[in-house]
Amino acid sequence: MIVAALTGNPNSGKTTVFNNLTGARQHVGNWPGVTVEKKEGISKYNSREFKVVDLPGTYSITAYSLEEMIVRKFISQEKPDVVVNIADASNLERNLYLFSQILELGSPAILVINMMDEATEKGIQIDIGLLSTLLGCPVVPMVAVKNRGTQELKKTILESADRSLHFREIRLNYGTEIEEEIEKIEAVLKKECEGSSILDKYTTRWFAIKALEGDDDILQELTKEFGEDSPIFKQIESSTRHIESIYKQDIESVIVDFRYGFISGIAREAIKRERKEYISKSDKIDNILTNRILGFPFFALFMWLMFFFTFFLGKYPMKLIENLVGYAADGVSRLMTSPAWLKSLLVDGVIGGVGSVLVFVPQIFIMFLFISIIEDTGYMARAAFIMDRIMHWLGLHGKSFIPMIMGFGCNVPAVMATRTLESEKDRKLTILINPLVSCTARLPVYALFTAAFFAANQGTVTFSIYMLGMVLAVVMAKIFRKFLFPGESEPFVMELPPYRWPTLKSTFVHMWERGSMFLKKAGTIILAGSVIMWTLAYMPPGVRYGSAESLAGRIGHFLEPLVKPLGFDWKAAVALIFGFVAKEIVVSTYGTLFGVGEDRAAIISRLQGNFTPASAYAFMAFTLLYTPCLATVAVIRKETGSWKWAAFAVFYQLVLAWVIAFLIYRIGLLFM
Amino acid sequence: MSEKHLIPLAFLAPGESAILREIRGIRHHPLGEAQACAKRPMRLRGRRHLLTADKGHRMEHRLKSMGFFPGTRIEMIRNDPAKPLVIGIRDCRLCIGRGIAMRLMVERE
Repeated sequence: MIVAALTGNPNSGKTTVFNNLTGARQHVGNWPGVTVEKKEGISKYNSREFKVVDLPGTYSITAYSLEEMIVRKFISQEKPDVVVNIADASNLERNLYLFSQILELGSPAILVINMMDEATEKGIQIDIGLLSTLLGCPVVPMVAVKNRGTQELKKTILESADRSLHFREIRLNYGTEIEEEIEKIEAVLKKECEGSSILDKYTTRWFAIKALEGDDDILQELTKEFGEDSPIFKQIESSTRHIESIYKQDIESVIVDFRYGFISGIAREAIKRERKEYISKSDKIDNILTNRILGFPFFALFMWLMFFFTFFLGKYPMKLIENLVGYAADGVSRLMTSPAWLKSLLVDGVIGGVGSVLVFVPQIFIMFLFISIIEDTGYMARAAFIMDRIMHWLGLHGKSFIPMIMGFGCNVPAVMATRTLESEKDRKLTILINPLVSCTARLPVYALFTAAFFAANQGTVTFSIYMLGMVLAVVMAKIFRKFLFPGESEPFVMELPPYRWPTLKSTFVHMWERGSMFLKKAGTIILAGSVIMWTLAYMPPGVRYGSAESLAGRIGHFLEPLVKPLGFDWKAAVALIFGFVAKEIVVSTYGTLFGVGEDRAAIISRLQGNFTPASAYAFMAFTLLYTPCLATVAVIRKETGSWKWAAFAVFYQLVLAWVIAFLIYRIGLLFM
Repeated sequence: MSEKHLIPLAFLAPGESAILREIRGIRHHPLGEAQACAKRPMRLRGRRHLLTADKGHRMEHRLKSMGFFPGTRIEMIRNDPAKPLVIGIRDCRLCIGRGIAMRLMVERE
């Protein structure tokens, strides 16, 4: 099948184009070995199907970041039939910088100029035909949010892949001196590379240019292939010295300068700007939303709205799902007569376990819907701007705040989102405090316990737990900055994309992608956890289900001394152990241990016998703080590159959870 | 162009615009270089002119790929005390820390 790869700057509308091309037929996964999201989909034009791969959004393709390496490796090694680069019409010069690097890689490319309408509004005129001639490749104008130009793009992709369109290989000229050196390196490369597979991946020219630029990845590859004392290195070294002595500048800058020269030359010819005094809508909105005085109150209001709607609107569909799960359990227990153990497994284990968690799907989806809106409108970057001052006090900068907001949804993508931070120290610090931001998976636990003990002011109590997490994140950040990562926070640059109305489709696709991960989790990890839990509660044969004599009971009793000072009993110990897999399981474990399945009212009444309000609040705090869930631990390991930090996160949070829960319980006892 | 016309970007007042002339002192930013060096193969370590993926370089490259290129016109949009700056490069708005803005040398228009 024909494969088209999408590249482009962040905020160029790449995702929207991808959604337009593939519709609902897409698949989200990870790039092998790394936790960068990989999206694929199938598109169709005139009954011909082709595959579309969405590559990460980047500003260039150097070896400096993981995302950029992925883009580069995919284009050079998987050799897609055509590379489609999405560019923002209002920022064409900058977007062309990436495109020029893609052209150099030598695969057939198409330039899509997106958001043509905005550019026209701003008085920018782009000569599409001329641009196409100058770049030697097809250029397709588009307005992706209005789905304009999609058919044209599909057609162009297929024609390019069939090679029925005329491609002229554009050779970026680096000037006589550098071209001479490139040729010399190419000559040595060709001689050395005979019989080696290394040149299958890239062209010799590209290799030579990258080697001159001092690209780490390429140099390492050459070292691996030819050893450290190959004549190639001698040639690269002498060429570098020669060029640097001519230009009196380091070689990387010289090459980048030439590339920019090439682009600005093209831009000058193909782009016309009317100089009109123009204050964009976006700037006007910014004057209010990021205002020195009003900015923060607005931000607080939006956050409050997010939580309010999550809990308020979520209540109604929750009831519905609760009833449905109830019917399912009733139906199964009525229809099935024997054997008793299978019936118990289905009703108590499967339906009870998964059902008690499914109830919270609406709230989780609403939370993700809000986070998607915040991201898609462009407000996320503003929130980072507004919070910069507060984050500075923690020794971080505003950009670190974005993962914190995302953490309200799920800590896994939030930890991944720390990649945009330039400094390694800032990044580790942000990762370490992120699990303290309460994710949606912990919501079921709060919802259950507040319903049981704080029915009158459920919202306030839940909010206080969220705040507790935030406050502790601040405190821990301060401590870590002082002892683990001393020093100032590093400088940063961040794009403030223009405000856009999010399209209904892309917002919902966004929400669905993330929310459905939770559904998948319910069907896999939570299902498995529930079945294991049921087995432990049912075994050894003959004991009363979920009683102290069952396996689960014995494990719980063994650990009880550890949690006794916090006012928890053995059931809590079992629930918390299973909660490590996924925190929602705490709820389903209680359902199982009480032998009441998914019946919320029954769980609540049994809980009231097991906890006091003080110990219930301590339990919620403990659930909030103790160890990140398994998936988060795994992603911390991947993102920090060592088990050391993952283990540290687990350890410090366990200690923190114990201390805080202890304080809450003991102080609570004084007043009750 | 003589040196004295150059001022750091952070000194521009809102509404002013200037041409970026020089990215100064980011390359040899002391932060984190040792760490990046340690990852390199033994023999290549220390060959600074060849292998230069230290943090300062990464930052400079990032700035350039985001549009901060000598000769580019930069407009100051917001310059509130104790906050990052908001600047405009053509129609693009970027939020930039003061630390970096002190190293971007511009010439007032």
